[in-house]
Amino acid sequence: MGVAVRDGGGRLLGDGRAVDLRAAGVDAETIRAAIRGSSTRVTVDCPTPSRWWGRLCSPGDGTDALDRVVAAARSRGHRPAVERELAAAERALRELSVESVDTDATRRRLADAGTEVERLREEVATARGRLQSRRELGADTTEAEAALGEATRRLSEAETELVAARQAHEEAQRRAREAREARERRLRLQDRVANRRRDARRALATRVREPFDDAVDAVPGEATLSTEPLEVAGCEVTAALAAIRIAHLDAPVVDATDRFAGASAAASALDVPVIRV
Amino acid sequence: MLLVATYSREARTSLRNVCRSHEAATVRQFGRAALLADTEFGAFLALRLREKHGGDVQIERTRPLNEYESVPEPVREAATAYAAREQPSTPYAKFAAGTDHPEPAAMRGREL
Repeated sequence: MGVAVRDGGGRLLGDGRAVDLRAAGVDAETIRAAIRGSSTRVTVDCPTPSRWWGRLCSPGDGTDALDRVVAAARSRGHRPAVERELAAAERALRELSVESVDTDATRRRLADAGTEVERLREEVATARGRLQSRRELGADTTEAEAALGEATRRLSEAETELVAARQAHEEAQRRAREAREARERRLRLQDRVANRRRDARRALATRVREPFDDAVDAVPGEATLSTEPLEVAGCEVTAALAAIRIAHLDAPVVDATDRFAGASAAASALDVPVIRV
Repeated sequence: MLLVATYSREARTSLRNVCRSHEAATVRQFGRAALLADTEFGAFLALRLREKHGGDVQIERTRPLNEYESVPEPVREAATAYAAREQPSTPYAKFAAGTDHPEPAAMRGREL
């Protein structure tokens, strides 16, 4: 099945399974937007791109080679069994609500209250000393007594505040401990999601390893897919082209790689409509 | 020492990086938690992590336990006796019943 590319005015720029737009001066981003149906400058008549098309459509755009292989495997309809567990873990993670555990305010209040009590204890001791020495001198003690009374009163208030601050902090700590249970669960779920995702990718890559090797032989360059460790070695563009070849894509691929003699060579090697820019 | 425990993957990664870059201030690293030195620098590292990851970082101050100083003798003796019990399957509550060893509930109710 071919595609048809028109400019904003409806003039046909090219059509068929292989469209060469190098002379039309349209860039890859414009074409990709047009394929998604979101460009006003150019329109491309073609099937709607699948959800895996975005990762596969532009060889050499920096998308991770393994991501491409995984997307290609999914486009072929592979659904590893571990994906059900992955989906369950992702759902549990989304549904988990985690309360805030900030005890900053009560920590600060407790520390301030402690400092204030210390300060006032010293003040009381000083006032007491002053009163004592005035008594020994036989001097007037009215003022010194009042000062001691005032300092003692303030110390008592500060001590009350310290008790209240300690209780508030203990209560906040208790709530924080409870909230950390949820964070604990969240961390376990995050780890489970990451592990299952890795398992799923490995399973998908394993499923398409042979077709991928064959596809590499059919496109220019060298690349290999291994599963232990899970990686793609060799030329990134070659790997991207091989992933396209094994993928089931209806929407066209946007090729700017210079790996093929022309758009039709690309379309037949990649087994998908190609727009060359 | 400062015990730093983490509760998210990002916070755990940051903690590992901190421990790797500051071996001298890291007393011990256990997966998602670490003991940092009880110094201003240890506190600086711990607080930096909390600034970055908020509630996903828990900081506690720990100190070594001297049981001869802080744990009553009956408790220490009970631990020794229970560790040396003849029947490994005997739960402590049963082991302590009818002896001078303290009841678990009583120990739970008393702070050190």
